[in-house]
Amino acid sequence: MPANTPIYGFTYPCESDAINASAFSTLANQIDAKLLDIAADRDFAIGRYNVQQDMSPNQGGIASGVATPLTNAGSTYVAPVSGIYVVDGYTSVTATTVTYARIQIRVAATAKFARSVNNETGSPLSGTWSFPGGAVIVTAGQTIDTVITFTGTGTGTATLHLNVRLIVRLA
Amino acid sequence: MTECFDCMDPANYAAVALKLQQTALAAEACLFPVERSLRSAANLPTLIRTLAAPVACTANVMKVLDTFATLTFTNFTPSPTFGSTFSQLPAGVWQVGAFVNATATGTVDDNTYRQLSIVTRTLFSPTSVANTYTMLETQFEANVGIGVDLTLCTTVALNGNESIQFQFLHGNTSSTLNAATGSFFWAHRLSDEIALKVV
Repeated sequence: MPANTPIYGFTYPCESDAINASAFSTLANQIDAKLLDIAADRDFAIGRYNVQQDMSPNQGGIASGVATPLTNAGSTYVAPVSGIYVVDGYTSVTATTVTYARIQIRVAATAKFARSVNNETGSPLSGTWSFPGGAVIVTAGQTIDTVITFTGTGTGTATLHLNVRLIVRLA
Repeated sequence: MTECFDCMDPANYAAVALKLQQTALAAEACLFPVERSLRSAANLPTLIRTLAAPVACTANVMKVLDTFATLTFTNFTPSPTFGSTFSQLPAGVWQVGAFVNATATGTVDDNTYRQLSIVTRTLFSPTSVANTYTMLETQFEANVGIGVDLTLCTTVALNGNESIQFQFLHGNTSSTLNAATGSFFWAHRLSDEIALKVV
């Protein structure tokens, strides 16, 4: 019965095993696979997953008081690998009047962090406002997106600039 | 029996098995330290702590929120004295951040302040000693029923004998505020404090 190395589980035959070409190819393929894995680590160390994207077009039709996911192109990011990602960016929402706004950052449709702004005294909602970086744990294939909420009058239109950076790879 | 492939023949299967075992072990011994080095360079020390339950905060009394948080993630061995906390993190340059949702438990005083701070302090220093670093985020309650969401992110240089504190203060005197479950605090080491070589 073949045995395996203690760390990576490379397979090698024991003395009692019938040895044929597959014993060589199995071991060679396992070592090759690990080399590719290490090459991926090297690529990650040099150039991490890092995106900066703008939602386009701006998203309109946002009703006051209704938490609305931003869905237009550029508003979401699907994690290519499992890891810890830092998400930040800036946004704006305009309507007839805006007294309050909040952006939530979600992973797989679950809110992870948010930033709110209060415009009751006239600022700072006249323009764009930022949401500083938050670290979120994301599984490969999960989507990072945002939800905007505002209070005021009229129908809102939102802009979004999203930065996502992988800081720790978990797989 | 020999270890030389050239001498193997169909009657000497044991030498083939031995050679393959040696090859497997040699490959593993060669690759493992490379992988370890790459991964420790790529996955720098990171710590995340999260509030597992709401933390009540009285008006105008500073609360150090991270002391109520529980460990969510770490990939290194933090301080031998303080465990997986933000005290005595290894020296270096760290990216540090926090998110707090603060919601009144009773009457909301409209437009009163909510303040989240990230500070660094020398270990065991009395409260009369100034912070070595302070960054603030201040917002004013809009009273829309979902509280105030404060997010902060900054970069600090630690000397290995300091703590990071995540402090919260508010002016809602009509009721206490709860720092909500899910509020979190994090630190990620970026580099040594001194760059030995800039390429």
